[in-house]
Amino acid sequence: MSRMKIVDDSKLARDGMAYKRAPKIIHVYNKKRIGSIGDTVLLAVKGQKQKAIIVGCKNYNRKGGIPNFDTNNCVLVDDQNTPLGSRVTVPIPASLRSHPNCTKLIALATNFV
Amino acid sequence: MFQLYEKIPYLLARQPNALKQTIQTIAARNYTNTVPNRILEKARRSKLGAAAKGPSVGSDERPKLEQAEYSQAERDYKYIYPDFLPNPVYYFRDKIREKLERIDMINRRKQITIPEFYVGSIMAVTVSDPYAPGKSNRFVGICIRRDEYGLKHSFTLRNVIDGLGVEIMYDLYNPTIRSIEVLKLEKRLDDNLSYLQDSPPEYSTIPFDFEPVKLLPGMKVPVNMTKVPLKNKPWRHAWDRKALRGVILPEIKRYQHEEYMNSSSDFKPYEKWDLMKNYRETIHDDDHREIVQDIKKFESEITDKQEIVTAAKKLVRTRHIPKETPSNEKK
Amino acid sequence: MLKLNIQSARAILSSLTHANVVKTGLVNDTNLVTSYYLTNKLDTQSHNFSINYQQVAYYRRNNFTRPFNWVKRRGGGYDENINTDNKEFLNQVLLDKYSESPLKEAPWKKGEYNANSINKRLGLLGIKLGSIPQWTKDGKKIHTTLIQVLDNHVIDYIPPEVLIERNNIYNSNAKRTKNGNLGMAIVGAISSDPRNYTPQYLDIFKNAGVPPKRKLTKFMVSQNAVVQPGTPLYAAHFRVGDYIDVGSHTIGFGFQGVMKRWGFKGGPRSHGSTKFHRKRGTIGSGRDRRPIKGMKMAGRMGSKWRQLMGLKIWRINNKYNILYIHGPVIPGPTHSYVRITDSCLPKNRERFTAESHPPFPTYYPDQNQAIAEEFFDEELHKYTDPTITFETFEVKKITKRDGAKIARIKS
Repeated sequence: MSRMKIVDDSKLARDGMAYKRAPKIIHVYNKKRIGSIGDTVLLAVKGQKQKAIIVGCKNYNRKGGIPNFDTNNCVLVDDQNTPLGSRVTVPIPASLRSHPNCTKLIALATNFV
Repeated sequence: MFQLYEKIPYLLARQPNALKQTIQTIAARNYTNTVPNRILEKARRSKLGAAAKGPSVGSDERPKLEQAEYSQAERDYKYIYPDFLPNPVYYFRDKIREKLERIDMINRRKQITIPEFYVGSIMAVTVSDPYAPGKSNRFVGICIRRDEYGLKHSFTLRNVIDGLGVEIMYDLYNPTIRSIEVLKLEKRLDDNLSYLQDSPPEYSTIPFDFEPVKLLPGMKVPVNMTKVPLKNKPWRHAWDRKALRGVILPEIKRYQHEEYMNSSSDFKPYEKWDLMKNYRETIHDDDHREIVQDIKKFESEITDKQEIVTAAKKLVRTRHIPKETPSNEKK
Repeated sequence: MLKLNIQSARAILSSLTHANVVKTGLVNDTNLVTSYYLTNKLDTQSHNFSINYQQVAYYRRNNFTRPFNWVKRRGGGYDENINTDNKEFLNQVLLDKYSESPLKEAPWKKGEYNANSINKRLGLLGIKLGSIPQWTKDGKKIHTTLIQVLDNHVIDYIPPEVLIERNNIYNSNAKRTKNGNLGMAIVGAISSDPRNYTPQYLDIFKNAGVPPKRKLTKFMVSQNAVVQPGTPLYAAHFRVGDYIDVGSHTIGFGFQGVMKRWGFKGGPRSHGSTKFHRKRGTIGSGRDRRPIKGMKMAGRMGSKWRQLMGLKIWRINNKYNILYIHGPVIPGPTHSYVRITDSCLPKNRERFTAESHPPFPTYYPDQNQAIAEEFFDEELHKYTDPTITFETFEVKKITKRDGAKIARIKS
């Protein structure tokens, strides 16, 4: 149930961040059940369920070359992994370029770290 | 068993009965399947099993150490190459492993120039990335911390981009790193600047087109005396309980209370009288001489980069960070 | 003080393990003889019968009783009154003795690799030195542990016929010898001063002609992989790219509580809990009126025999006899003994063919032809190479099926 920051341009993202409850992760579509960069996730936003992709983590990574951010970031998507918004407002890690989930998401990003 | 060998001369002189107790306690740890470091070094050096033994560090092939005193340039190697120093904990050390590590590190340093830098200096790192358009990726930021010894040595950079703080850890000897540049060489008041995570963003924002600042020969390595104000809680770590010099805490009465500070685990007033503290955190001079010899040989071998080597020798380095100047605001 | 001749000193050392040294009357100064070993403790009658070589293998710690044929290792010792001149002289004599060729007999016939039968080679006894990172040519980081093979010699070989007799006598398991197909080879590591050991222990090394070792292990060996006692073993015994099994004792932590040993949660720190902060809950009770066996409780933690299987060898240093093995988690503290064998997993066995297999039965160095100082795996990046740039790397188009697959309807 970790709280996320939606880094997106869509209407639901703007309303969800301004809502009284912060968006939280309900479920991780993953065998390990622990989300990391590039994983799809089910969010609870503004009283409704919505899929999202994790785009940045706080967690300090010992692998080397992979960034960690001050907040946990995600981008809202629908079932075909197409993002709802038209722009990603923050930098995203460059390692997502090779990730199969994020092909459509990368076209919206402006900054790569 | 390493603890025992350190204690023996002291205990024999003072408390012979206590020696028995330490033997019993360490024997209970069941390090029975190991070779003590002292005996292993002796076995490598001995000529008994001559047939199956390769030459080793302690054998006759070992070059003779120069007993002369260090020059100032050689003494500065521990600031320029801090990653060459081994782990000071005796239990983790092995002489042959350190030697093989050093050979790998020097071979890597012949491929790219790894400059001298400190925690607090502004750096740029370019890494080769197969998916990037130019096959390379550049990042600029402040060096927050340096970790680990030898080949494992790593450093992290921090920057604020689009209002979001970003930190990246790099292994110093990662062969995918194309270049490491130091844009501004300076120190800070602390050895670990992780508290920048909980400070306002203007203290860690650096433009990507930062122009490099050059130091003239003969100058001291400058110390940046800025103090960073922290945000209100929640924080990532309890910064108020650590002995930090470069931090301004928010004004709450509780932080100024003495008992609150004394209850922290980092509060160690007894370290003033700890005579063995410096001994534990440094290595022996003979071990340091081996490292110095390897570095001197390496510096003489890179003929095309001699300008960088000579320019680095002209800077002045000190371990001590200057005390704050007394402020005149008080009346 | 008396000074020894070379001949008389050699006579002592050659007959180190016999009781009659004093009776021969070669030396009048008995202090010198006692400096090698204590003559009173000699037992030539019984100790040669069957020696237990399981100095490293796993045993249950809590109720450990030594087997009846256990050889006492430590004993003898220096005489403190010995003269310093004589001490140096004796050291020189020891070197002279063991610098001769260790092979006493004519060299045995070397076995050959047989693709149709069992090929089980002997292993090595190494020492763990610590871990360092390496990188592959793809830019991936690998942690490797360094294991040094120091002074390894083959010390004894027991043929399968003798092992079968032993199995009958002691009622031990016959499966370990594969029903009489495997013999037993003993390997020792780190040669040391013979004056520190008991004569019973020194008797083990008499046939091999090598100085006594600090540690011994045994390996079950097929009959075509027999190696003559006295031959040295090197790190080049293994190939780069092959897989190995590694076993050693884990770090011992002593008597520990339930939270550290098994990772239990413990109790709350406050909220009125008294004397219940780091304890476990119930042991359990019910019909049987006893706790179930194997219940997790406090006790001695660590120092158990553990094995890791299928670790890759990335790099071999032939100058210092060092193996670079995949993974940072090889059991034991630094400088612990490690037992290394060929991996029994099928992914390793399928690599071996009649044409390409590791040196059989071991690696014998050629004096005419020196091998390279280091071997690298093909995927591993050498530090002498330039930086990795991915210029020849081609980006594949990522294709993933969107939505569910639509079933075709037969028309």
